[in-house]
Amino acid sequence: MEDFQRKMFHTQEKRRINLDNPIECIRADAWLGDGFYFWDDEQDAINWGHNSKRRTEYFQIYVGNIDCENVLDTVFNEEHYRFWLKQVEKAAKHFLRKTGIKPSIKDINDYFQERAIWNEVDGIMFQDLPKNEDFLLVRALYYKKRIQLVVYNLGIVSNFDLLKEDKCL
Amino acid sequence: MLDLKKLEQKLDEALEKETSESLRNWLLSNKRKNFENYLGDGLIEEMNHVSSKIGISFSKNSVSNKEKDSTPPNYDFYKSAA
Repeated sequence: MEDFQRKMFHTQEKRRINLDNPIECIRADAWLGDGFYFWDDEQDAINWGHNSKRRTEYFQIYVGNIDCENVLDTVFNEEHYRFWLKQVEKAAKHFLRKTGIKPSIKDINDYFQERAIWNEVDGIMFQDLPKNEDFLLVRALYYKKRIQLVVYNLGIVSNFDLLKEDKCL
Repeated sequence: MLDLKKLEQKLDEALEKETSESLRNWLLSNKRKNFENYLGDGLIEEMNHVSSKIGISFSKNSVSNKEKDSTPPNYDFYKSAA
């Protein structure tokens, strides 16, 4: 039986009290739409703290177990990746043809959730590549995927707890 | 396990129903919602227009206000999620 449990990391600025649950990201530029964002790699979570969670000068890394059984896994599952790519491009072409406006990836993902009503999708796993060579051990090739998961259904997150905190550099 | 065929069918049906107007309205409404989220919670105070009879002339090489205002906002500096 396949194990869909993953340990993943959530970064936030340090607040007066520790979090019991992750905080929903509603930023306009959140790739995969509104949701609870996690990193696959602890180091990526730390980098995000230093770079983007600087408001209180300290950041915290939380860890949680995620049940990924109903996550669209575009990173490790080839069938899911090809499916997701096809749907994104189909929707994008439709938007462009009908409105003349090129949508953002967030627009597309918001559309999947709101209009296509993909309620059964608990989250989407996605990757890009790190842009800072300081975090790579070889030169000239970004060989390491930077993997994120957006969770739409908080019910798949368990054992959410503070792992560590640090001062922003 | 996710039923990918069912998801595709739901998306196809949603797209099929869209007219140019409904899709444009949804897209603009979504962009407005995202922009309001970016602004954060709070009240937006409406500014009063103040008219004046003072005229301003621009030199030949100056940039007009219209040209300045027409520069689209650049959101590129916002990084990815979370």
